[in-house]
Amino acid sequence: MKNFFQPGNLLKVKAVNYDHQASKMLIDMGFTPDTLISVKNSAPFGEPLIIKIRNYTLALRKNDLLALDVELVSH
Amino acid sequence: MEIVLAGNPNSGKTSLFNLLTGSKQHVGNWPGVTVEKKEGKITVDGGQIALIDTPGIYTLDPDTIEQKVTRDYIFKSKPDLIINILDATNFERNLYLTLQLRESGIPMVIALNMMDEVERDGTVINTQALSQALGVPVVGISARTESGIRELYDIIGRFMRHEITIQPFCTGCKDCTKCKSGEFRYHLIESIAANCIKTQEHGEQSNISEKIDKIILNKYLAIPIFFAIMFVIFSLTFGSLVGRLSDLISYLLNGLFAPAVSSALAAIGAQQWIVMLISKGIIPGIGTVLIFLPQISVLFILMSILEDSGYMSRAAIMMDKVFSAFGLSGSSFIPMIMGFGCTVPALMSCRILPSEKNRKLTMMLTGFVSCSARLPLYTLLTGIFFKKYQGLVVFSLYLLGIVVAAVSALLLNKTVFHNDNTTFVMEMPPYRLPKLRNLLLHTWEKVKGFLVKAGTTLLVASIIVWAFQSFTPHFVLTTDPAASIWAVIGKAIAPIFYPLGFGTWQAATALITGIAAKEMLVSTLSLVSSTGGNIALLHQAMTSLFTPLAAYSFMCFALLYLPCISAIVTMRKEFNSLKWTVGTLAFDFSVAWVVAFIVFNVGRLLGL
Repeated sequence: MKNFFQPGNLLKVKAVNYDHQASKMLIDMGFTPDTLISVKNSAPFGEPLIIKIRNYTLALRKNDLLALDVELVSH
Repeated sequence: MEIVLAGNPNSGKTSLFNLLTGSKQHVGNWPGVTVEKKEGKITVDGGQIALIDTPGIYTLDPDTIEQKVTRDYIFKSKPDLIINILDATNFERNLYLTLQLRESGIPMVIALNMMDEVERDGTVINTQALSQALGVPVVGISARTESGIRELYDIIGRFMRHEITIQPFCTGCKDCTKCKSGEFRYHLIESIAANCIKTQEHGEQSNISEKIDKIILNKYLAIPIFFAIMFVIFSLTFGSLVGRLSDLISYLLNGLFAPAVSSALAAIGAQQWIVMLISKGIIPGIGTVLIFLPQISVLFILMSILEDSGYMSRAAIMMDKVFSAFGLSGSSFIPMIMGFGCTVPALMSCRILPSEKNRKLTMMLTGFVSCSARLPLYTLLTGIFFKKYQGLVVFSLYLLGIVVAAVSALLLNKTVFHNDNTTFVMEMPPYRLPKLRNLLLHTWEKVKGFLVKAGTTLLVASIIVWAFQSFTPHFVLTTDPAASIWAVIGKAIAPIFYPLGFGTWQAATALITGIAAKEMLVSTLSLVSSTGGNIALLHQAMTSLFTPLAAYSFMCFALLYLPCISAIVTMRKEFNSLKWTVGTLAFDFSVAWVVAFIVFNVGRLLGL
């Protein structure tokens, strides 16, 4: 799978994989289908990623974000 | 009658709690400040009502212990009213919990906090429409500027008089699976937001925060900035300005106060042993520690600034990659930073960690972080042995604590814990300018705590140390410390410390009493060298006890060996296991011994 989780990318959630251990947490934090997420930047060692969603900012690991099926909206 | 404050982490529950009850609970600008419920009283219509502050939660189906406290409390105690506080700048995510609370059927009022920031951003929230959509009263407030509080009181009063009744509420997802209900709620939230919020643009505030983050979290700058901040904190704390304040206190205590007390006691013809107890026991015992009050106060002010500015979350995020190597996450860094203040709250804040393994491992590491009570020892010994490089030497000790914690984490994870990769989520609060009143209040609380400790634990411990020092094992009063009970006990233990360079009974005694409270390390060194609090004599006594290398080895050992008794009690409570507590203590002691051994012997090989 292509890695869309790169700083500067605007993404849209297509679906959430409910078998992934991070899925519940992601849903609670507002990562539901059709939501726009903007990858702002990454922490110094490349991880975690700083994500803006629903007008707030949080940090997540790539591994956890893989529970999301996303499509690229813009760079 | 009972009211519960509930809401997302860092939405301002404790700020509102303090405002309503007049309490002074600790607040900070990062998620997870409050880890246990706190109770206070508010006065409504002349009657007193219990108000409960709870740890912040994102959902009523949470993972961490601290958040479960809130969920259990809401469901088991069935409060008469929930004040659901929302961070209005983060409307949609905060409303998620609101819907869940609303589904529980418990009467509630919504307090939209941080309305001042929302308005500054040019956003308008229609509280009327929101109230209609959810079927509960909504009031816009700002705990920071104290606006809207009157209105909130009015609504609480109307609830108490049963003038408001709440209808049941359903998100419309009765039949769907547990997971899908989350999607349903957010659908509903989106339509509510569309109805109630006008001109929701990218706020000015968050733009500023984003710009700051571009620098603070920059690939190349982040780590240097982190160490620069730490270094500034240490240079200020151990700087000459603060040092002069210490000298002033020392002069007032030893130059003016102690002689005055001695002559006063002599004038009223007090018995010899009472004069001894006061002038050779209590005054030097407590005084030697009080001298370091300026350093401790400055350290706490600076830490409060870190907490209130929003930097704490960023630091945790930066450390996430490092911590993931030990199966931990950046969240574990927060207890560690807290540990620079005091190990007790640091151990408790481990409750914010998502898994039991993570929590236990982090608890085992927090003792290695150098708490503020160990600071007098560093200041005293580095002031004597490393005058030129004092800041740097103290910094190296703090760094050593962190490095030892990291290596231990690696070791423990390989052998005991076998942590897998956990999920990590850390909300990033906007940067905020720390409020002076809050800084002073927070620092004053800590200083007060320190003074109370000096007047209780340290007082009692000083008297005991003095007694053990003034009597021989046959309970005969003696003026020769080498014949005292301490000398006997200390000499029995001292051989353990020979290989570390400080095998004297005085050092051994200090380490024993240091378990009562870390400040006692300094007090005891002062007491057992019979200097009566005289700084010049104390310096002389220290140079005869330690070589510079031995002094450094001693500080390394004192940094790592065992937490103080209050921390041990907290550890027992938080582990809820004697086995884990004893195991941790044994581990701490062994690590301290090995590290001090390496420091001393490598130092000797290098000819230091």
